[in-house]
Amino acid sequence: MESTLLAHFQESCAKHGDRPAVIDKQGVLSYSELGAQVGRLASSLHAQGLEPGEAVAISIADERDHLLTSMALIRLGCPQITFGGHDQPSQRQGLIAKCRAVAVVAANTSADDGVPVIIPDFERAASTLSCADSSLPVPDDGVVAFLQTGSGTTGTFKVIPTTHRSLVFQALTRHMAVPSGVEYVPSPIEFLYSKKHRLRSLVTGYTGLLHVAEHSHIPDVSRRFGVDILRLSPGQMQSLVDFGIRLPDGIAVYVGGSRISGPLRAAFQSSQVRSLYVEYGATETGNIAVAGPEMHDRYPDGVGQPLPGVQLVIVDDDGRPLPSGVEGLIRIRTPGMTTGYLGDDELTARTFPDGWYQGGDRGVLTEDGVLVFGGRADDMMILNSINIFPAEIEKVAEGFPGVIECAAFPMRSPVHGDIPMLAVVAADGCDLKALMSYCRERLGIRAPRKVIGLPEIPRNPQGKVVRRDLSARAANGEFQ
Amino acid sequence: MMSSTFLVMRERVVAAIMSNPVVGPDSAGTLARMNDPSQNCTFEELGFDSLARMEFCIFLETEFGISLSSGEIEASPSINAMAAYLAGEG
Repeated sequence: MESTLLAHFQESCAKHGDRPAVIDKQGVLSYSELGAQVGRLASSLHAQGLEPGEAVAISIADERDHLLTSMALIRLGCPQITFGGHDQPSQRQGLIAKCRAVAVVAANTSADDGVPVIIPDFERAASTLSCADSSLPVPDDGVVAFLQTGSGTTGTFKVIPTTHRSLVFQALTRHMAVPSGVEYVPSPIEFLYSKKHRLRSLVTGYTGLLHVAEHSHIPDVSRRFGVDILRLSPGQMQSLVDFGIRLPDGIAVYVGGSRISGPLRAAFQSSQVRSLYVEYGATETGNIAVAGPEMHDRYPDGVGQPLPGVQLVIVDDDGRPLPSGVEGLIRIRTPGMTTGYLGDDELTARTFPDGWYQGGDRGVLTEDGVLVFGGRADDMMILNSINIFPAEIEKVAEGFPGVIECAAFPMRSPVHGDIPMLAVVAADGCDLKALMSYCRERLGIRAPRKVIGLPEIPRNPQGKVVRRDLSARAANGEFQ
Repeated sequence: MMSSTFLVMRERVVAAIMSNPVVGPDSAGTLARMNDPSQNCTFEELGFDSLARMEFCIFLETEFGISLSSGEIEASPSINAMAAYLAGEG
């Protein structure tokens, strides 16, 4: 019981009762108030028919309501899927089916995903007259808290179950420049990255600021609320550099989710704040390394030393360990990682050899134990921290009438990372514009942003698609 | 007097909005203002959020090779301000 997320949250509530747990436009919610509301909401969701162990999706844009619902589902022991406001209906329904979700917990009844909609009773949760959660069984730490999604190498999305135990480990081992204070993630809670940090914040006694801000307002909001720890996406980081509005002195900035280039780190440190921490990890493992402010000059692609409790080795293609200084595949083992994908034994066996996580990132360990990121071993694209495999796009596009063959490839953008594009050999009369909408409906944010008709797909003598050629032609402006 | 560069850039900005998979004009009146260079329309009234801004940048980059960050959209928050910025007149 000790290591459930709930137990740690309740410990925070007992220890820091009066301390603000969250601050938002409605005001301040202390740890003791939040703890009580979560309990009452869990009890009320139970009364609405949710049973421990049943998977449910959350589709709630409001920050506080979403956080309360998420914590209440954790209290109940219901694994949760997080729907973003821009997810396409077919994606939502695919996830519901794959995770066998019994309901969508939503702010209103507008969603139609083929399962019942449950609207949480936040008024009841806020009222001290409502029923507490004392009669509900306490979930154990092996229970799945999150069903996270990601792009899959084989052309279908993967579902990553993450237990209470893993989330607690990730929360307790994350690097924090100050031992307590206000933590701010300006991205919406519907992004898993933000949501997980909001929960980690509650597990470790920090005060979470819930305030979705335009990039240009981040410095002002940070100053107004006395933010100590700020977590940015690479895009937000770039905007702050472009914008030149200074963050308050003394703030510590964390960024992760994709490669942060040496020049961007340097520009940020000279124009914004020096205390920049670059984190490295995967959805499957949580953050496993962090590079502090002093490291960027020496290792512009360095992602730091492994966090406590994390094992890391570099191996060759056959899984044999390589000495320091030699680039190879990164293998990770941590108590915070998941051990497989839902309903995909083949992908699980390939990605988790001998109990290690080997997600396809390449890197080098230096003599002094610093991990330097070396790119991808496969064709995975990273668009503003979103991982996209070409196979996923190609599989969808191949289902469109008139597509003879196709190849997805990245156009490299200095600002956004890899912009997915699709080269298509199509039969006469195939509507490429309609193909683009078809992909968008099925892939949402992972859809190709441009479809280019070509007489043939470039291949090497072995018949393998040469995506590099397509990317080079895109960089030359040939496809504009 | 509007420069020809401004007008070209304005057309590109309008094309980027019309192709945006996330947002777009919600009425004929808004659409008319978008297409009339003597009028203006803010990204906010078109419902731009962070994803819409990203899609807007991506369109300009894939179609015209123009690299923009989301921050630059916030700094030039309307069709005309953005067109002037891209034309080097901002």
